[in-house]
Amino acid sequence: MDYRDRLRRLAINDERIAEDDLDDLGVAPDGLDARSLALARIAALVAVGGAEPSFGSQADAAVSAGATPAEIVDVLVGIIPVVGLPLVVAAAPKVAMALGYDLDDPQPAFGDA
Amino acid sequence: MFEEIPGGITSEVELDLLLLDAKLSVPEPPARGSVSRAALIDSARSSERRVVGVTAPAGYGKSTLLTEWAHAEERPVGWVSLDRFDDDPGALLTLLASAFARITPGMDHLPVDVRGHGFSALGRAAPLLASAFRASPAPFVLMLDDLHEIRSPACQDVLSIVLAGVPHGSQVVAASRAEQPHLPRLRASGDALEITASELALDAAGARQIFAEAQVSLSADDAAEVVERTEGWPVGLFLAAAIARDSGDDPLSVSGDDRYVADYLYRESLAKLTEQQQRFLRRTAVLDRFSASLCDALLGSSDAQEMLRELEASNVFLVPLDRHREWYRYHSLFREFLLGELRRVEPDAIADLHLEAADWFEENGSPAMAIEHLLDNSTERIRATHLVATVALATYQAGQLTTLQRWFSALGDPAIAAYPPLAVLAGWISALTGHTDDADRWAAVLEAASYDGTPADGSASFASARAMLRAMMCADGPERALADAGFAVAAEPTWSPWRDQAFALLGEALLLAGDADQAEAAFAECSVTAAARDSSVLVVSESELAVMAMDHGRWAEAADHVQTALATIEQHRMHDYATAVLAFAEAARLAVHRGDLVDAHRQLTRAMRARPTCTYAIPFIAVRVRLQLAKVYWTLADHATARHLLREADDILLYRPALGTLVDDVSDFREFVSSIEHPGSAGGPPLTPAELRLLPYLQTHLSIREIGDRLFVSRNTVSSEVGSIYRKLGVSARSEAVERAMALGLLGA
Repeated sequence: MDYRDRLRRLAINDERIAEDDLDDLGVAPDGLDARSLALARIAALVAVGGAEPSFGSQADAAVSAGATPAEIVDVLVGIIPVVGLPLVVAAAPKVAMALGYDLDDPQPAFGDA
Repeated sequence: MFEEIPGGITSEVELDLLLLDAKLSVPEPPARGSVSRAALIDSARSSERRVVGVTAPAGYGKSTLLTEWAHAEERPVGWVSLDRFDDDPGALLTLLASAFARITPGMDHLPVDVRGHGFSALGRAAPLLASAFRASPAPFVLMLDDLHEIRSPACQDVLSIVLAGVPHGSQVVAASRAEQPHLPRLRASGDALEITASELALDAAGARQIFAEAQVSLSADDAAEVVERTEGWPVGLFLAAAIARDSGDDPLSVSGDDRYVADYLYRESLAKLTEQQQRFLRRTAVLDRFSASLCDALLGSSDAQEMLRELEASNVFLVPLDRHREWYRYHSLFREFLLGELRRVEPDAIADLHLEAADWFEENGSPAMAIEHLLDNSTERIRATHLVATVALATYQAGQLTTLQRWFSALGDPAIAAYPPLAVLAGWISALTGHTDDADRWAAVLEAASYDGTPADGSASFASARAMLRAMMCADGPERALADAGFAVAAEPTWSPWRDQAFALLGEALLLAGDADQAEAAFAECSVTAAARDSSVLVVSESELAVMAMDHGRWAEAADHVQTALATIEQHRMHDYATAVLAFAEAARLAVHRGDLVDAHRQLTRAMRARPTCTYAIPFIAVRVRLQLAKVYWTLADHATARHLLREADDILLYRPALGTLVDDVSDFREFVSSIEHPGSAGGPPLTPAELRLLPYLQTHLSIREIGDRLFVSRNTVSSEVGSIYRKLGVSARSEAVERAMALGLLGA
């Protein structure tokens, strides 16, 4: 199934996509590497105002796939023109927490044992 | 690194052993003047509740009940008399383990096993002791007297975990003046029985018995009256009887159970003693525990032995602590009264009495007790700081970091800064325990300090000790570290206990500077010196030698180094120390090379678990262990964990960017990793150091907010980390997380 077929399948709002295994439907991601996928998901989380545990899970996935914290922050900055500053401002502390930094806390991660 | 007790100052430990023995011995039963608690004891025993709390104000006969129980008990009885110096998780665990070891065959190693500093008390030692309790071959009873002396939250956390291990059929009996925080939860689950003041209050029959023993007749009506007036307070009844006997006063003239009444009653009871005896009692009250020799030293007398015999014969407020009747203490309420008298009658003598006590303890090989007697005396700050300097590393090494921190805060930063050799040790210990802020603060203080005397810690000079600390913290890059380490090597003579440390630091600095051959020579020199005096610095040099041997394919040689490093860790119980992590990492690497994946994963878990102490306070260790671990995980196709470790190494480099060749090593590996086209996906993200620090608290019943208070982080942080721990462990509840972490080897022994 090429990308045009997959787009068509998505465009008809096939409800099975939300329920079933993506592989069965042939729309599972196949070209995108895990790192880019995780970064895209972080961008999407910012856009929908996702909660902290979701950021935690996706930030971990991004680092697991080789992304650096700096790249994750690049994503936040990079989507400001699209989603607007307020959503990114709201997401920043959650992303920080997901990376092990509490912005409200004076102590740095890897600081005190 | 550098966990060693400097040689030459190791004190004679005999006195400390005697004092420990006194704390762990069941006291002798009082000769007279107490009413049997057999009924209460029988019901507590037959209740089969695992934990019995005896909670009542002073003077209700709590210790007497425990003593009577201990002497009547058929199961083996372990005993711990707690005092204010035991409010330290390391000290508490050691005492509990020692008491248990005394009554359980084959447990001699337990007190040593539970030693550990910082987070390892809760994460390793407490669950270890709990599982030793669970595995006890026979039912036992453990008595904890004066539990109210244990106030710190850290100790209460430890205790709650240990108590969870008490098996059915065994009992822990704890006497305390204050509420026992662990009881409500245990009561709710039907595991606890409480004996309170209302059960301990005496009735008319008890009153008549006490008066009869004092040979004062008491009618039934008067007995009821005196019980009502004293509210059945045992010590009040006892004193009323004593006063009635000595003065012929109406026993009904006393009433109430408050401190003022007690003071009044005690004062009356002293009236029959000679002035000399009264002075003896008042003055020796500054001592928590005492022997005749100590009393003589304190009072400048030579007849303390006789005095103690006389008093013991006439005064039931004196408690013999050992079978030989060498060590005694006063009933705590009586001691408080005596101290009040001392302050009232001869306040000017107090400071000198503490000084005499400090002298005696110092001369008799117990510098720690000498320190306790000097801490409150502002004119003796200098002597106290010197004494703390002599025992600081040994105390830290014995796992009593909390005690050390209490001394440091009692002395105050200005006093420590005024004695630079102690400031170096404060910085040293902060760095070893990963406390970066404190280490940085002391390093800044030291830059401006100078000291020409001979430090009490055995190092050659203050300048040399400071240079070693600077080399270890490596804040200014390899060149400065190399100069500092070189200075220390030149300064520390062959007989110095710090010489091996100096060589280890030289080796590390040479490695960072890119001179591997010279580094290897320095580490080899360190190993020879350290092995000769059984020093734990051996772990550092042997681990680094193992890294280099494996890098060059010399696997047989590497195996020897790993073996030596691991044996040293076992010997010194260094499993949670920053310096142990590299040894575990190299053991894992060796195991992978041999194809022993089970052992590899075991060693990796040990390393990952201990890595939170590897902070940028000792940056080259912190980065090197993560790089080495990342490489091993990569080899095992756990690319996710490898990448998380790389990310941690990057974060440390943000704080300490000048780490010479280590920075290149990290970027080489990062490039190699990103050059892989289709990375393997085995493994999920590991627990972060912060999550590992939090993990032991999930064993307790503390709320998220309380855990945040313990760790000095926000509620928000804790809640996020807990969520993350659940996600990574694949669980959805606290108890499951603990079970899973135990199974993975991230908690427990």
